[in-house]
Amino acid sequence: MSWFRAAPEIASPGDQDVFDEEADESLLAQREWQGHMRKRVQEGYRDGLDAGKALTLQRGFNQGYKEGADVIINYGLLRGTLSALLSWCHLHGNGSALISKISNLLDAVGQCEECVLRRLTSVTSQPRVTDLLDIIEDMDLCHVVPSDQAKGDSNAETNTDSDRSPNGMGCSHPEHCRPQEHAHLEKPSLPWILEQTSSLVQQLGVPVDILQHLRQL
Amino acid sequence: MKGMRGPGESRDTAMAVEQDIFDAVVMADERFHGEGYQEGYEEGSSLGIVEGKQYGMVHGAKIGSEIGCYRGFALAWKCLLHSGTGEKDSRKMKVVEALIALLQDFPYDDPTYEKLHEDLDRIRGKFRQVCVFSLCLWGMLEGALKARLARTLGFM
Repeated sequence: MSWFRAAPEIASPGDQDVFDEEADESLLAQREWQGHMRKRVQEGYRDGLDAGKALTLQRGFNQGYKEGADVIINYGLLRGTLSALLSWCHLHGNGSALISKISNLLDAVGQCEECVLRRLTSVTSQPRVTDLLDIIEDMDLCHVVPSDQAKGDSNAETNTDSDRSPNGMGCSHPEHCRPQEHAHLEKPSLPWILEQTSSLVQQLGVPVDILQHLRQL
Repeated sequence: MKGMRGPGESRDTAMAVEQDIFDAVVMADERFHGEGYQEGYEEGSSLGIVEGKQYGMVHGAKIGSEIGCYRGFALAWKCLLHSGTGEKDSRKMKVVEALIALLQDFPYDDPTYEKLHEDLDRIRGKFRQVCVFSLCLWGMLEGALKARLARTLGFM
């Protein structure tokens, strides 16, 4: 209980009387006391951290869930439409060329979807509404990226600010989608896929209304 | 100032002093803990939002992807069947429209929806029905698509 006696005051080493037999003991007691209090602060911090997290984890989850679902559902719509066209082709014995074209488009949508999700979840700070609007805007405007825009590949999963190119319309976004090892391949972009799908519909001779529900993309 | 204290009084005073010191120590202990707690709590609150959002996005995206796929499929087929005139087509149309209705009522972006799993199972079942029975597709589905659908529906 020696620290107990030392509690009310913390004497500086200079005050110690060289004849004070308790000098060493009280210095030790001070250190013990300080160490103990430091530990208490750390324990308090940990307890507070857990409590704070527990409170807001669910709220964050609900927010993220809604954002993720609302953004990705559009890619699902496109995949479902292409799947329907694929099954139509099978039913009507259409040539394998069309069938493989649709399969490729399906793969392209899958890639786009993964890319968008990666980008969404790579945001480590609280995303601003403007960031998400940019993502959606980017989807509308980006075509096949010319090679001079390929510089941003290394920044693929970091700063969202890098997506706002000087002309304000974020055409730098698609380069994040490109797997670096396939830089020579054309990167699937959403408008390109929609364009291809539209021409496919015409080729198949099915009503163009079939793409009506994709107009929101 | 009191006069000379008797032995009993001395003991009481000593105990009172010890009690005061004890209280001071406990208070200091709680104070330090409390200061740490305060700081940790603020930090934890913002960390929780960020972490929760990461998890939420992944799960929300999964559901959005699946539901979107069913919806796109059903709406496209509704359009394709419209151009057909047979009786079989009208029966198929009914099933497709039933799926569309189920999807319409499903709050796909609400993770707190109490009937989430129940409704999702019903939707999956209806989709399977659309594919397998109504459209007689299953055997004709291209390998990769079939595998993908099977994985999504959790069978085969």
